[in-house]
Amino acid sequence: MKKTIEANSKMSIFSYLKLIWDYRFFSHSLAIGEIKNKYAKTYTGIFLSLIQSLIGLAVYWLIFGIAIKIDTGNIPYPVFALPGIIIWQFFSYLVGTSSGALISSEHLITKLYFPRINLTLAKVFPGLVDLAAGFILFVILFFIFGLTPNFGWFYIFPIILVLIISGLAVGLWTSILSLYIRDLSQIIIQITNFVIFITPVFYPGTIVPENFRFILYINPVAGIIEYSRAALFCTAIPDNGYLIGFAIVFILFISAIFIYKNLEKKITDLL
Amino acid sequence: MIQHEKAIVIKDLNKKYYKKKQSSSNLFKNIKSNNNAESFFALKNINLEINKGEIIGIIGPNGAGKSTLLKILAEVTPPTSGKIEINGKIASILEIGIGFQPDLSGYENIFLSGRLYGLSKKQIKSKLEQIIEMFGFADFINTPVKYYSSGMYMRLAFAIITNIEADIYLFDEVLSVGDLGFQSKVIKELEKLKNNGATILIVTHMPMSIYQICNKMVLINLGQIDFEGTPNKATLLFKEILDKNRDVNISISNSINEQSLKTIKKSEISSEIADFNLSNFSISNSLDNITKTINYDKDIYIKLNFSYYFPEDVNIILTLVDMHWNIISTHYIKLPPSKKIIKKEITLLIEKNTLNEIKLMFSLIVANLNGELIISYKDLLEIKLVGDSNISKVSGYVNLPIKIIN
Repeated sequence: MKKTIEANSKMSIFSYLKLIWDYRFFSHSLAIGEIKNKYAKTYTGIFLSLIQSLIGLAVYWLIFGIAIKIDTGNIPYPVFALPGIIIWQFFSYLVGTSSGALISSEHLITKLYFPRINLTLAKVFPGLVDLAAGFILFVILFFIFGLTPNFGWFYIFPIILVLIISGLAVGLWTSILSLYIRDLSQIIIQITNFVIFITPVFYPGTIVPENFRFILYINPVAGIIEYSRAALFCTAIPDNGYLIGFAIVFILFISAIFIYKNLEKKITDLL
Repeated sequence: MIQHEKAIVIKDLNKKYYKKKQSSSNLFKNIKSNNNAESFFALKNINLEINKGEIIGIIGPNGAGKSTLLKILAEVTPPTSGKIEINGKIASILEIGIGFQPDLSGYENIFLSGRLYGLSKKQIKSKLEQIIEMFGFADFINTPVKYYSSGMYMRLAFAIITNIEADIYLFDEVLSVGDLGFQSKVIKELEKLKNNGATILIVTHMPMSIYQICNKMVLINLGQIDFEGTPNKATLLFKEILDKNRDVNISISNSINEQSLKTIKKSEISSEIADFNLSNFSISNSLDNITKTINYDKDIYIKLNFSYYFPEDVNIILTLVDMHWNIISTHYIKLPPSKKIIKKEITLLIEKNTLNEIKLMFSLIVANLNGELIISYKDLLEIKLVGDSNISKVSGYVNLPIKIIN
């Protein structure tokens, strides 16, 4: 095995992607460590996140389902709201943890060689565990309320893929930017706390007036939630405006990988 | 011919850093200030060739650029200019126990850490028995590592490292952790790795710890290679640099009082839960006054005045080092716990003719019984012993019969 280290060695995007793949065990190890560590510390383990979702769901049901009486068609409010809540939790978790991924892993970055992007990529797995737990909860609720599943459920997999890409797109960009702006991860938390209300998590997107709909269109999570509802409840397919958000995150995602590729080696000195 | 095969070839390597000002929260200011920030070379014009199967010690004073060189080789940070060719798989151990999750068991951490070093699950499984055997505490392998003693923790980490099966190992200050037992074990393992054909680079500011196993030492000072050659010559030159750099020349006097102690660099860890203040340290042939010269053929008294408070038992460790950086002797003085500040005077006696004509350096370390450092007074006092007796001039590590006489 021969290797040359040079000052400004350029790397093609393909060899960079291969490098990321070669270090998949690294991401794996980080992710498994994080998941195990998270649940080894608590007695309730994975149930903790389920209980959290249930409590949250009960509160939203009270506020939006019973008090405000948001119209969700013939779908009971808890079943209607749960997918949105799970998706939002995944997205905000991914954005929140990955925006500080580089800074909080300084001890690894300054001591070990690996593609730095893998640190952020590894954050997907712990999020997916909670996502899967949430989905099981959804299935249980779905049957408790006496609904019948349909083939549209298979669409959930490509939707989850878009969800991961969206979370990563924002997370990768903020993780890089937080090297320059140290309090960015704090700002991001504040922003996500606000954006949840202009995302159709608690209400169907259709209740937003047409001339304000563009706010939803540029928000990828809005599209993801709307499409997932269409798939899960076999309701009408949302309008094409939501694809704008997908296009935005796709561009962000690709550009973030290029940014990482070029900054990769300088990250240690930027910390 | 294998001996002439190169493991690492470094050509005209430079590394420039920018002197960072207090990082401002303003993004634009940050970018701007980076452009006209003052720069300095952490490494300047480094040319080095390392043969396969050698153990190389990289020594030098703090801030000389040793660790930067290692970081560049480990690809943690890029060079500013220059070229490095590496033949073989590199394992960089810049920190021991990297990637350990404290809440997970030793067993789980073997897999986590092993994977961070690029091993597959299969490879780790095949090495598992060996790793656990080397670790030596098989009963504790399912205990979370946060309950391990620091010694056990390091042994586990080292057991993993030596089983990575790399061609080139980069170690940063591995030997500055752990007790002497651990260090000698590490030395043995390093020799084993070398016998298996591995190339090993060790960065240290304590050359004596690796002196015996190094084929060659590279002395780095102020970002440049000062010397490259035999460990013997390198350590001597290193000692010269240290002598030159020393802040205060204290060899004139045989005693230090509070005033001059302030100028000595002392590293402190905790001052809130514990405190130690050395007010006087003197060496003399007489109990009452300080003699100008110190004769080894008369009794030697070492007097310490200090005040302290500690919630737990504490050790004062007095270390005697000769001019070749050999540790002559280490002496432990155990102090009882005290909840309030108390003043104390301790006089130690080295009987006549136990030492010979030698330059001696005294260091004082205060640590708790777990070996956690509280305060260290490094290179506290340097004296030269004189005398007429014909004692053969040998040096080495001994248990000096030092007596506490009050």
